[in-house]
Amino acid sequence: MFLKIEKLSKSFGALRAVHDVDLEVEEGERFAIIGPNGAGKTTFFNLLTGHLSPDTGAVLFGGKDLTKLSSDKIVRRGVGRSFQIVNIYPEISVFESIQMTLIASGKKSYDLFSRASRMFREETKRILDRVELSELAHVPGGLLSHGDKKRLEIAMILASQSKLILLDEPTAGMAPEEKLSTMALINDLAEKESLTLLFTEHDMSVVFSWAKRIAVMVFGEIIADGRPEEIKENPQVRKVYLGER
Amino acid sequence: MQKNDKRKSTGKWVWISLAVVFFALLPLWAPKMWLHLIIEILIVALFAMSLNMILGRAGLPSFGHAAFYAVGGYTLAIFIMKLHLPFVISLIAAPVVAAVFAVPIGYFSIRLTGIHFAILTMGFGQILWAIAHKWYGFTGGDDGLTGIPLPAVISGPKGFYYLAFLVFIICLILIRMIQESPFGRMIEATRENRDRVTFSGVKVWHHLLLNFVIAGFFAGMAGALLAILNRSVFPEFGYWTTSAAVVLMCILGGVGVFVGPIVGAAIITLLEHYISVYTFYWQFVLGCLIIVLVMFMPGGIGGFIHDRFKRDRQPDSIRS
Amino acid sequence: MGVEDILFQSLSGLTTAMIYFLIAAGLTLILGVLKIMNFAQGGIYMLGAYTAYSFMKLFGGTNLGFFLTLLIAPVLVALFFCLLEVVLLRWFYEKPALYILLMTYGILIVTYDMARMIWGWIIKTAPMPPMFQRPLEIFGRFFPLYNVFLIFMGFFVFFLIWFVTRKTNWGKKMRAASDDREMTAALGINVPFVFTSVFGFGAWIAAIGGALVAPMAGLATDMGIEAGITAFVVVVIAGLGSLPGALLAAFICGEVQAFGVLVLPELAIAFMYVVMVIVLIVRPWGIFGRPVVIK
Repeated sequence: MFLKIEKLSKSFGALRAVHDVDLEVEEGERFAIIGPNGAGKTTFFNLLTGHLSPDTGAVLFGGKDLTKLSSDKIVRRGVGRSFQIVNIYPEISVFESIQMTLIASGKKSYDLFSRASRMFREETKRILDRVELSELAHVPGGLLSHGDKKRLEIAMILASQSKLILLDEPTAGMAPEEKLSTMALINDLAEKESLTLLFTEHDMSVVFSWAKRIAVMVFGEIIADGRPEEIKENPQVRKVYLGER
Repeated sequence: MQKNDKRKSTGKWVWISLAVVFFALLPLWAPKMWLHLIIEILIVALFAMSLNMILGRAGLPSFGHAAFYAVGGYTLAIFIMKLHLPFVISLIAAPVVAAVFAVPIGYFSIRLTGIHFAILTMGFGQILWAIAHKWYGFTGGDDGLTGIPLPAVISGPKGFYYLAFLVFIICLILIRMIQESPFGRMIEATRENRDRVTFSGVKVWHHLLLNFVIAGFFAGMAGALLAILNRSVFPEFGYWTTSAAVVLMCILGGVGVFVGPIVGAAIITLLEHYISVYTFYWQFVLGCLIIVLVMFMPGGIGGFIHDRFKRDRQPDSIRS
Repeated sequence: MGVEDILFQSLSGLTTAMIYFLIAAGLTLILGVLKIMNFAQGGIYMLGAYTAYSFMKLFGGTNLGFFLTLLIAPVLVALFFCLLEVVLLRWFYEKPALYILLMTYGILIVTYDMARMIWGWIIKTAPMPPMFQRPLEIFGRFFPLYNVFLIFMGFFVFFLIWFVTRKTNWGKKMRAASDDREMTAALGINVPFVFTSVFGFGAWIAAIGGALVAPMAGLATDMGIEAGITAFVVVVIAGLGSLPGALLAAFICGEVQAFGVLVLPELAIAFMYVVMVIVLIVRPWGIFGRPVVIK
């Protein structure tokens, strides 16, 4: 099993943010987690990437236990993530941001003697082409448009050679065409590099277009888990969503 | 495009070579006073460059960097005078011992940022100062250690000039190399977004600590040179005002520019010397200068000049 | 060491603590409301002491003269620094902290030399007002009556600040402007004026601290350098912007100093720093500060 989450729980005082979550994700899958706002999806991701440590439960990736590891170790095991609030370098250029990530994943960050600007140039260019950011190569990250910042994040995830990618609301704040092109790009990359995607989303059209499996999280608990058709027909899900409207 | 870049690069190297040759030939014609002053500037500039590794590159305001300056000076003096070790060994030991001191101080300080980092480093610096100030038996207390015996070849300003200049150039090259290395870039990235660096799979703490220790190493080197220049070392080497002064030099010259700290060090040292000739109150003048500078030239003097002369500097990223 | 000795020593420590508090309280206020690190605080303290010295000498060292000085001198110094705030500082509140740091450092060294230009380099002694010239017998030893007055004044200032910030309209405006500058301005309050007045109040506290210390010891121009650092140490141990924290931190530093001198007189000057280093390692946000997670 590629990613296995067992009875993961996290509480903040009286608030049960994530409760007894069981999830299995197969390699190469497109898995979406949906649920109302505040359902605990971001906390869940934070638990997976080591930003928070769980109260109980375990996260097993490729058979190895990730539960208590720090963020940097988890990333080195092959888990990548894009953040809801885009988290890139504001002043470093697009090219250098990717270059830096390659240096990091290439375990060269302790190198005191080489010239950083000459390293991994070819690979950087390749990644730039992949995410279609070649023209913006020397623009500082902070000056990019929102959509381009997301592409840069994806580029950095590729540079980290992640095999499992967690995407926290990847199309948030985008216009419909941009959503389409972004998801197409992500999906394309996932196919070419054999990546596994686990993403949260609010836009149902995106979810039902791209996800092969869906889990529904409400108040930190998974209430349904299955293929899109199954989820659509699930009575509890219908109650949560349609009942809300 | 490529030819243009090559010409600009060669242009830069021509200037650098001319400068090196100029300074190398200086002792042949310059009066003693000048040599003494220039050596002092070189030493302080090295100290400032070492601080900028922490302040400018890592974005951490250290107000205790003078501690390593002092440790370097005291190590040299103590090794020669109390342990009777040869000069060369003492000179090499100074930065090493300073780096050793930097390990525990860095270990605790690195956890913090901003004002907390500043105050904690300042606190450590003051503790070291207090120890140097009081430990008569070992450090000479507030009298310091004076009359350090030196090998004949460097006992005059001419001889010492070459040593200081050589050390300065070597250290500068090393600092440049480190700053342009993957390690150096990673440190700069932590300044912009620590989280993102962690998220590239990098142990940020380790890198920041190593950076801090390397900076301490070079500060110790500068401190040893100062001890040689004055043939003595005093607790004031490590007082917080020395740390603050070198922070000022970096900011004045521009923390974002490689030679910024050197510019800042030169300006403040020259001011101190020339204004003192006319008035006791050179700090008043310096204070006014700082005020004017903050109002009108926030990037520091180095930054100001750098921006003016930028023209169309092509960034590394599209140079093939 | 007998109980009486311990009590006496702690009284001595309390005196030191109150001096530390007076230097740090103004900084705490300025930090809490204006959110800036005022490097010049030590300089204000020093100018307060020197100005008071001049006034006390002018009034002939009388009791009345002393109290008049306390009334007038700190206000003058505070007004001077209000002027500096208006001209130099207010532009940088929203800018990166480095500007204010540098600017106040520049002001500090300017005031340092200004004091030397006006009052010269020789150590000065301000006259002790006659009413405090007899010592008080307490715990079997003689304790300067003036120190008691100082301790009392320290508490007075503490309650004054507490009262002003918590109970007056001015205090409400301070807190509002500190929390949300734009909203407060939108409500018609003159925020720059509020900020200037807060800075002035903070300066006044430091100045009166200096004035109170003047008769106790010799005045040297570098008293501002050491005092400035003390202020920062106390504020950081306290937790940035916390007034009760400042009192507690000052108390800890004062007592550690008083007892440390008995145990290890050689390193007396370092004790405050050792306390601070320990606090910053164990609890980096200070005693009453809000925890900031640094990973």
